[in-house]
Amino acid sequence: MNFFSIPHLSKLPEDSPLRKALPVLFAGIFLLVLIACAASITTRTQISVAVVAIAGFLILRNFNTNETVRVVFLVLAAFLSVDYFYWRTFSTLTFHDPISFFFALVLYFAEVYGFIVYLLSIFVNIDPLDRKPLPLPEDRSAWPTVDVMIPTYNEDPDLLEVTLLSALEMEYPREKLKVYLLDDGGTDQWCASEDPERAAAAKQRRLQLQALCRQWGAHYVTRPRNIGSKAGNINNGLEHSSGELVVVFDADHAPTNDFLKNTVGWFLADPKMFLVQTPHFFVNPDPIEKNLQTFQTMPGENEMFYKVIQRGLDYWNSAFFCGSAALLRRKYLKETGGISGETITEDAETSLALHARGYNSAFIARPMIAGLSPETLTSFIGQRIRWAQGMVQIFILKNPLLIPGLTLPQRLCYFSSCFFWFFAYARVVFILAPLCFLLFGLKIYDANFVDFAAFAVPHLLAVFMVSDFLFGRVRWSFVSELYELIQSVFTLPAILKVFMNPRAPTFKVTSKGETLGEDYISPLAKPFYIFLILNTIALVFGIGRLIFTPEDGFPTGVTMLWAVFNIFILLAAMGTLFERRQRRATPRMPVHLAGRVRIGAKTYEADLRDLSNHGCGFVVDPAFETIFHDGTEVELSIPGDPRFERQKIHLVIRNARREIGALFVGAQFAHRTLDEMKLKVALVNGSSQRWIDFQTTRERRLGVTRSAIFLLTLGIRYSLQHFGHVMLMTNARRAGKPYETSTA
Amino acid sequence: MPMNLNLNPPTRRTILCVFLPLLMLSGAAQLHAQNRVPVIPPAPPAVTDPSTPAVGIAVPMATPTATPEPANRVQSMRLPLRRLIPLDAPIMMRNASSTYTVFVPQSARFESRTYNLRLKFTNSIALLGERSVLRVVMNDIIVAQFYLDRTKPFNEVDIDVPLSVVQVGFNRLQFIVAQHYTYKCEDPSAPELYTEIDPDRSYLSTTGEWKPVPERLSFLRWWVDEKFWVPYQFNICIPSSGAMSDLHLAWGAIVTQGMALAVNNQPFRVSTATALRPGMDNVVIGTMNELTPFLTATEAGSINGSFLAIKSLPGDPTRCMIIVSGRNEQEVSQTALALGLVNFGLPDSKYAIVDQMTLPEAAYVRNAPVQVPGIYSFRQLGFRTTTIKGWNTSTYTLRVYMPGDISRDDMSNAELRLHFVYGAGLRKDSVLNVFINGQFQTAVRLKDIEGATHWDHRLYLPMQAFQPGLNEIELAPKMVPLLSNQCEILQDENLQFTLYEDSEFVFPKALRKARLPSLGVFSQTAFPYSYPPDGTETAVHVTATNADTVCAAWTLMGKMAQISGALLHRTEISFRLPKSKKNLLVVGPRDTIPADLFAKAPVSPLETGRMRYVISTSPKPEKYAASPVEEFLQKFRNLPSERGEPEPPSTANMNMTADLIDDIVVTQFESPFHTGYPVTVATAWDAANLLAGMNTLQEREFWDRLAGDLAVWNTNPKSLEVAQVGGFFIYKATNIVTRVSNRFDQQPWFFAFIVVVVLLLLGIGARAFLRKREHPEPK
Repeated sequence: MNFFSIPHLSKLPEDSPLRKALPVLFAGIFLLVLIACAASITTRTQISVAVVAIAGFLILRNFNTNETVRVVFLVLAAFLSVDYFYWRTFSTLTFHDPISFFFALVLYFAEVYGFIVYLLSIFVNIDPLDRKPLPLPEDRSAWPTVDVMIPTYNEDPDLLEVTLLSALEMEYPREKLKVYLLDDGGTDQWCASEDPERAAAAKQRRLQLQALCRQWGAHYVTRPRNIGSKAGNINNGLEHSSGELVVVFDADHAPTNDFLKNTVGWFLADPKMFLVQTPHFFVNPDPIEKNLQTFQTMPGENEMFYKVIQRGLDYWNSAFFCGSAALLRRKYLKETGGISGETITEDAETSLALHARGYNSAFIARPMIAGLSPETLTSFIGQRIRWAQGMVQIFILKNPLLIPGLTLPQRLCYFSSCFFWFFAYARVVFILAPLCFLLFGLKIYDANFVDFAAFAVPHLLAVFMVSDFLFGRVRWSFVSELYELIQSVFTLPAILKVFMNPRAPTFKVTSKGETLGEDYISPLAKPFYIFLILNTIALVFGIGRLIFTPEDGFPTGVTMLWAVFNIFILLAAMGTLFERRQRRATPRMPVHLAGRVRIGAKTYEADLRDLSNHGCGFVVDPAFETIFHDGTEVELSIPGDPRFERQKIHLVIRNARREIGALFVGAQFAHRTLDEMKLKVALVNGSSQRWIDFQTTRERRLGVTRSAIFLLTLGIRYSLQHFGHVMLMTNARRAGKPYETSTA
Repeated sequence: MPMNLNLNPPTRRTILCVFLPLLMLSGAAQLHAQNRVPVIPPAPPAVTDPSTPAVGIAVPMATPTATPEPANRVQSMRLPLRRLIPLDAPIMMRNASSTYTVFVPQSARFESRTYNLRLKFTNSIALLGERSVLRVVMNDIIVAQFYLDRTKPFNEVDIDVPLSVVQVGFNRLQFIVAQHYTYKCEDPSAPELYTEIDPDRSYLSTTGEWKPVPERLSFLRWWVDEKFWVPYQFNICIPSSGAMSDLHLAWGAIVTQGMALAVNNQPFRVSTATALRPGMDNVVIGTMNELTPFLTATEAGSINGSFLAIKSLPGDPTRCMIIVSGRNEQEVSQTALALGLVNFGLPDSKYAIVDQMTLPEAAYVRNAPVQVPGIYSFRQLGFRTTTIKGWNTSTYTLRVYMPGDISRDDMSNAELRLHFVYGAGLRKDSVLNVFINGQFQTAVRLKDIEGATHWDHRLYLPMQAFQPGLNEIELAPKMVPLLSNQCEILQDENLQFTLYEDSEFVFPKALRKARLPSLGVFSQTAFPYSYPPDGTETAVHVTATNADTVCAAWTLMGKMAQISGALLHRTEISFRLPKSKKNLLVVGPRDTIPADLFAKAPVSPLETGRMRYVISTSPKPEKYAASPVEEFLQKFRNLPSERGEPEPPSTANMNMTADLIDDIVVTQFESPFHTGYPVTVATAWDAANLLAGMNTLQEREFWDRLAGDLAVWNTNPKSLEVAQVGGFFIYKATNIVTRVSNRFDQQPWFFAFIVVVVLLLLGIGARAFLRKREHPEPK
């Protein structure tokens, strides 16, 4: 018998005394815990409790696969943090002088934010649901009709073609699947624009996309006016379609073949299901991953959300629509007038409305679309500003704690999703707080060493351990701090604008598929220079304080450590602000496939190493170096896969380089027929297993210390490159010469 | 202080127009009154036997060699030096030069005719007689000087102190030595340079007479104060026709406390009767009608409100009679309160009418504890900017009263933010040492040779170093000149240190948790009976109505008022056991104390022949020498008791035929009626013993050594035994949170373990609920 096995309460009879007594027992235990938090105990006792609790942590973290252990672990952590906050609130907010007290409150509220988000995070992620794809019934007549909506505004038709083809290639009865390209770039409004160039471009775009749809059997839909941005565009598409289920793919989100096969089943199983959401998987690095060169090694930024948090939300029936890679039931969408558009995060808003009506959602954590991240920091920040503003709009206009219809867990989950976006305030405060004491001597945190060690240190340890425990495999320590810091400077004023005028923000399309010709310093870097300089000065002041006022050694030391931590994160930020060139618009994704290439009459074994929409890389025996050279045409087949074994894909070799024991060949697709093009798209985007395999290669628990070292190493390396670039640029500018360089 | 106390002396016009004719008649009226005022025979002198060895008393007190007789004002008194210095402290003067200063009180009421100092001292046998000198200086006048000769190390000298140098008030008596062991250059701090004065065998003596009492209320300020060499004696005369009532009890308690506060920390002796007692001051309390025999017709006619008057005791002009009266009991109460609260800041007239008195919520507290948390400037703590010069100099002393419920388990730190400047040319080992109650805590190195100004220099002092009640924080600059080689001319004018009064003392939010019973805390702070200081939460139950029992209760309350520095004027005092939830003080002979009071007491003085006897008092070690595993397991055991309190010892119950007889007992335990509240019982075999015991208890060597939950002492021979017999409880730990906190603190590791187990259960419970919510697999 599993020691940790817990009886399933639902298996107990309704009138079982145990079942009746359990809530009282549970409440009693909870009350005891609260009493323990509020107990006015000596510091020595507090240290004893903390030591035992942390010892418990260290033991329990080794059993993190066990669900009961997971809950106990989180309860322990929550206790330490609640205990800390009780002490923080009632013992450390001391009035010394008005200015110190003001900044003490500013810091305190930043901590309150972190504390609330932390507790909500524990609640949301207490037992993430691992929902499996549900097989469809064999009787295909029972399968619902599906309309695929691909809203577009200004994306490249080549990009759209891949998405359209991928959608059309999904395994589903052809008569039950319709694909709609919802073009907001070729609306009547744009075609009749007063700007003749703009009007001509819109007309051209409309014609081009209409032809594309005709060519592949999709439906082109546009509308007279661009009302309601993306939500309006989809709602227009809904008016022109009638499928029972609606799938939404962003223009750059190419689905895998099994998308519908893995998702539609849940709609058949649960008549109240309004949404099945799947993860967004990106085939290119976001600008931070790109600039720190972590794409191949470190789990992607969104994996924390799609691999843990959405599953946690799903447990509480709160998984929400993320704008793409999701199916919605038309019947329920109609009840709310389609996709909601009051805020600029129409997806979460729509989910909120439908959850409030009592409908269910599901999340399947299998990546089944391949999309593109924004390439530049500017685009990335623009995207995050939209998300932040949209979620804050929901917080203000449709506060989940207040709107009727939601269950309590749903309220908490949505509140968590909205409230999270206030991190900008906390991050900016945490970056600037050490300056208050080190530069200006303001007393913003009134604690002595022993109390700090008894309350704050266990809390901090708990926070790090919980973070590692919950997200360690998909989000390494301190990466969140880096991402949030980069965004916070820009999202903070954006959020303030929402507070001033909640309906002001407008939907802005995030640019995708951009290329960067050369390295450059991001125009967003200025505030981070200021932060870095201020924290460095504060550190110098801190050293001075240690020398001249050694009696303040403890507060000075702790604050200096804080400033050092800030500098550590800021150095990593400096690395990310040095934008690397990005020449390949369609990124190559690693693959391990045994292929076969044919040149003329001869066939050679080839291992496919990477694939993109434009080409692929494969390795052949170096003995054939003379055969594989630039311009050679080859035919690629995949033995073992009937479709790719039967049909060949034509390639033209673009380069070949010899590596240790192998010849690495780069080739470009040169399809000759439409079927071959479909085949290529299916090869590149068709398999969700490929995306899972790729994610698995990055997914590992690094631990707090190794994460810190990893990020510090990157920070030092790339910030040095950043500063080196700045120096060379400055020297070149002084010499009156143009400066161009690339580190790629 | 927001107290509106309006004492209206008669105006000049009233005196001239109305009272002058009456005053002319008052002489005759007084004579008439003397004839009919009831007077009881003189009480035996309440003075210390001069043959009794000198024992430590906190304040100066003389040993009269003759009983003061009303007719014979001449009296001789003796004051051992021991009573002017801390308990157990020697008078040791070291180094090449050294000064020891004591302050000798001189009452305004006593006119000395002779004034002598008997000095017994021992000097080092290494001293060079011709260069080593002891000077005795009184108020900066050298009254005697002696060679300190190596051939005559043991000395006993008599010094006639000229009366002209002795002043009313506190006289600065200094012993200044110059000590050398060679004619050549020498080490001024050589260990063989010392002289010790024996404080127990050295004493001051005086012969003189008591002055007549000026019949003006304002003179009370100087006439009843802390400068007596003998315990101040007074009688509370309540000439009520019936038995003593609760109201009489309250009047006497207020007046006794007022008198006790007036003599500051000095011992006092109170008696009560329905008549006047000769040979001592008398306070006559009662309504106008009750006091008719004590009042002249003029005085009686003047009583148109709360009436306070002073006049000399009939037949003895050196003693006073204070009239506390009014037209009704309410006015008498108001007068008593005025006498107690005003502490003799009274008008310069024979009598006064208290016509309006409003009291604030918090009464004036002389020894008010600091608020924790709180920031105090040194100025608020009574310190003024001072410069200290030279080496072997004095120290800065701050007196801080800590609340009685400060937990000594607290690990937080108080903070000193010092503003100071020191001179140039100090050697690098010069330091500013910081002591709390004589124990070294921390130091600042005065390392800058050029001198330095420090602003907001922070030092941290562990809260554990503070004790409830009075704490003395000493800041001792030890400055050494840069050039201090032997045979070098020493320049010490550069040794200057100024500490500014805007320096701050920051008290953290310390744990407020009083672990009772603790007679130690009771003796240091009167906690919890003086919290709040007006005694609102205190009730005193006097179990018998006889005079000695009543006086014993008043004496104990007076001592508590002295300790807290405040009048417990809102204390409920009664001959009946109070029912309200209050800190209870019970005073009475053994056989009058309600038996059910001892339901929770570890030892009951009522059970004659049955007593818990301590069979082991050796303290338990904090840790036992053990293997690491055993040491870890021991963490789950009880912690040792708080420092300063003895560990509950092993006890044995045995039946013995033993009574208290001459013993006096004070014991403290948790109230059987109100959980979390203490009961303190003071009892003895009979009322006379009890009163004698309370009087003895005032002596420093008794009061300051109270500890544990049981104190038993005897007046003849003087002995005191203290013990911790029972367990502890947390004061006012009436709710579950405080009780849980208490348990946590007693067994932190065990309870840490319990917390984790509870959290484990919570986690498992949460998991069970989560499973209940689990989404079933769809078919």
